[in-house]
Amino acid sequence: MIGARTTTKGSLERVTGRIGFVTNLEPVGTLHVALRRSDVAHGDIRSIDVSAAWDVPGVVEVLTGERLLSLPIEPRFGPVFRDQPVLAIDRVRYIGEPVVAVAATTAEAARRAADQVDIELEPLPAVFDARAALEDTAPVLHPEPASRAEGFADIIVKGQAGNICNKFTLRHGDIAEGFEAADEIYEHEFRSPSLHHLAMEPHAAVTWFEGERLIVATGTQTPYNVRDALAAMFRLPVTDVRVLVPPLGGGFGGKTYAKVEPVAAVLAWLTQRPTKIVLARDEDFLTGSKHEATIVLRTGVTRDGLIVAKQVRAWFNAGAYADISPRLVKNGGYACAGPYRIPHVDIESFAVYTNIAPAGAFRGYGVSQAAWAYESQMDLIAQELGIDRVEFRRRNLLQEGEAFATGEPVHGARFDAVLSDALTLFDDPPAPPPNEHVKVGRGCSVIIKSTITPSTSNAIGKLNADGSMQILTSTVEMGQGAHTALAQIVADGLGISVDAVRILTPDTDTSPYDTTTSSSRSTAAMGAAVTEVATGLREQLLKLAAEQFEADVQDLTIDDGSVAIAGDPDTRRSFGEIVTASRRGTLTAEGKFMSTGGLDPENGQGVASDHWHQGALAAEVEVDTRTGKVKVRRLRATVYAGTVVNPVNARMQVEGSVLFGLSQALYEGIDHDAGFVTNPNLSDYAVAGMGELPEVFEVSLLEDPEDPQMHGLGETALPVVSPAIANAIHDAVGVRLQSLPMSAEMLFDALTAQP
Amino acid sequence: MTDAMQVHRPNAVDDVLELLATHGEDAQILAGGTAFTLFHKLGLLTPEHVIATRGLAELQGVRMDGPDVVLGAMTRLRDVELDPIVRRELPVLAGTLALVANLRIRNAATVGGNLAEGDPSSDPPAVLVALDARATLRRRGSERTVPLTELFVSFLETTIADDELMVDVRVPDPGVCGHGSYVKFLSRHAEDRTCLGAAAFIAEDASGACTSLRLCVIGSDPAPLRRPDIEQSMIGRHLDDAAFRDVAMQYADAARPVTDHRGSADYRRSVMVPLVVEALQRAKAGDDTAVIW
Repeated sequence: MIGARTTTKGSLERVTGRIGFVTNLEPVGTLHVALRRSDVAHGDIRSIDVSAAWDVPGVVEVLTGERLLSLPIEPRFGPVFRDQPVLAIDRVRYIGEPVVAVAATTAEAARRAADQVDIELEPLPAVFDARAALEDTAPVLHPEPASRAEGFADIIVKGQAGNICNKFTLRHGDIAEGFEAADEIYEHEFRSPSLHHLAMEPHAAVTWFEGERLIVATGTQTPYNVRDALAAMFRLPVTDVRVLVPPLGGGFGGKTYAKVEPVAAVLAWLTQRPTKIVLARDEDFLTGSKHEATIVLRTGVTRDGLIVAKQVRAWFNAGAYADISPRLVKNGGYACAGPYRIPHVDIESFAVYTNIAPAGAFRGYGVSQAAWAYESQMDLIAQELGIDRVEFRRRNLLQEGEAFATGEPVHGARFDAVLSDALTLFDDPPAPPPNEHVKVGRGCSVIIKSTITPSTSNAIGKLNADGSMQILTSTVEMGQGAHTALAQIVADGLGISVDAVRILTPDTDTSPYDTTTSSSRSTAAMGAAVTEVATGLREQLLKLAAEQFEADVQDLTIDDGSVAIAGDPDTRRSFGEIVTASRRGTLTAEGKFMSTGGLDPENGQGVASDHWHQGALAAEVEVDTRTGKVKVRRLRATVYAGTVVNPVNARMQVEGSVLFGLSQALYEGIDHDAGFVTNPNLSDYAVAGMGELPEVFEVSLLEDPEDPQMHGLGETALPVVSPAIANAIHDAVGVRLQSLPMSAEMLFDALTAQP
Repeated sequence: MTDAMQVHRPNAVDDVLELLATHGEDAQILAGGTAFTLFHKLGLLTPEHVIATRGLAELQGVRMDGPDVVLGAMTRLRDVELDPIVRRELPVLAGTLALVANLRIRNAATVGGNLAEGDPSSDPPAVLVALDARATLRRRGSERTVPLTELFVSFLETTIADDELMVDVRVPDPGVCGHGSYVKFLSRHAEDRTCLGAAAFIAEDASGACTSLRLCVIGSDPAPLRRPDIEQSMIGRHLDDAAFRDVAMQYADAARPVTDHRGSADYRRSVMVPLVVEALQRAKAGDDTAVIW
């Protein structure tokens, strides 16, 4: 039931390791795939000698890019541009780019053989920083424009030149007029690093051919997109590609779009045997990451604290191939306006090719980078103006019906409410620090986040003759509890037990189309689709029961999995009995959700989001001035939830987001040395654990009984974390950090440099 | 390409020494395996012969030998941590071991393996070096005793010869060291490896004058840092915060810190000063515990 504290479906299997993760799947005769990767950031392939690899016992196939070109297969893939070769063709563009793939009877033999390959590369000048890549002298990664993939019609492609992969432009009002009206103009630059998703389950896929048909079991968040990408590669009708998605061990955006499936499928095609690829952790670090970003904000304010103009220049480091960067710069671009009423906005954001591994979707989707910048700057400006930082926010927060930077009026605005709720953490003064070296500070932040718009979700429900139900959707369960929420919604709509509802895992042969399991959309979007399924089945049940009872539909009551004539409980007949008596075998119903919207390619005006995610965070920190080490001791996260489907899982989503954010605020960053990742392991790459949980950790889910909209909660409490902690650090010790992560050393150096 | 390793499971120390004498540099002792497996997986350690010594009863356990405490080389860290003798005689070591890695690791890793690895950011060597501990190294037909200060050379490098086996670690009469403390600084999260650690012991006479000061810093230089010359300059003094700061500054000057993901050389040198002061203050206060900073 909606609002019930239902235990996550499959949680016992998950914690006892009995889920059929892709990594556990191994059809008879499976060959294991290992990749040999480039150790040069940018270079031409001079020669590849694979003879030693063939000498390793158990090797069945060794594939190079050159050989790939001779096959009747499209050698490149990518969701927006088909620019990423399955294996490097003629040139490598980042350290870690796959150059040779080996299929062997054991994973060890494949690894050993891949290591035996002799690759000769002629290094070319390389560039790693997004802004450096825009200079005239920078080497250009893709001199020829890549072909556009089908789909993603909503993505505006413009500004491509040199290393610009895509550019997003937003013009709202007249920026010159805005700066004219400003009493003060403040400009600040904020940086955030490339990050690893760190799903416990690495990227993995098992692929095989059944005749002409390609079957792929893979840990993906986008089953239909992977199907379409593989069908295009193998020039097959989409009916000849079947994508199966068992539950995932985490995704966080890193498992959107084809990643490891293409190379495994090519080897399956060549060998006509099942192939399995499972990336090692260091390889996973090279397979999708958060965009490193530099954002410059120029904000004009009046003396009484009203924002009148905001100019944004944002550079997102896309890495060597486009992946979903062309869309991400849109979201990351308009997000920089924040949840504020600003009459004049001018935004340009760029996705820029460089010689590091391609970045992609990452929980927060550009909004984390944006919020880090604008919520830090809000405190900086408030301080300059001498206005309380909460009051400064309140004067500018969007109110109901006011226009966001994209021009669309914001409905359901509750920014004031979430901020006020979070700030109840500060009702009492802070406890004193443990000693004279430790300082205590408080900070807050509030953010706006869109959900992917337009998007589509479809569902089919089957009600069986024993009263049980199956729901076919392409929503991926990755530990976030989406399937539990969908089961609750269906159970609620039909008045049956959650246990009677089985949500099937995606199978593109049978489960209908869904855009993606990402963007915090599944509970809202697929939830709407399955609500329609429940409604449709309910109508059918009532109609059949009316025929069977020889009564009118309006005289029937439906509850607890059965139908009866009102006032006559003896007539009660279970759903199963009704289905059986109808001789239909099963009842089926469809449901769909479709949102509409889109932005004008010239000025970024239009509809960016079907509804808005709104969150705030209050943080209290301790800073040890001897070491620069920060301890987050109290947090309160508040999100607007509309209607909560499952209070336990909703709370856990918010807790997870906040801890995810805390880790990014203080510790995380992929370190590069001339394009080489120096910390691709969980010892050197630092991640927060249970030891970092604050002493006080409050989660508040604001609901509105008048608002049936279920708001996704997968990301809302993430972008708030870094700026709130930065603001609290500043409150504690007067030091402002503008680059993430806020490591102890960085803070120590800033403290030492203080006058 | 590596051939399969040959794994030996000898039943007696003499058999280990025999194997070492035969295979020498082609052999690797496997103690608790917590370090070996990591290095092997990375391809950094691929010996032809692996000699498993963890189960050898002769190398297990903690005993008193007069006033000295002797730790069998194959005693697991967890067993040392919980040992009644260690808790009574070496409370700082017991406390430090409780902060090492996690229970699973401490239930596998051994004292000898920990020292022989030569990991410069490992915690136990800080306390053992400060306490003037000595390792007993045996080869076929002979045995020698090496102060730990001479055991550690550099990053993952020790003076243990290819044909030698560490049989025990002897901590000479800890009573003369006075009271101590260990302060472990983590620059990042609570499960991180140590950035810097300082073990300090101070003994004073009835008048409060310092009779001995022992201080070892790990995580800074490629080997544990101990400077007897700096320590001895404090003998006879009534130690106060100014004296502690003086010691700390001298250690920081003497340090040649490494740079890694846990902090730069400059940062380590800077943090070393308050860290050492804290360790010395706690030692003087009779703390006898280990804490995380």
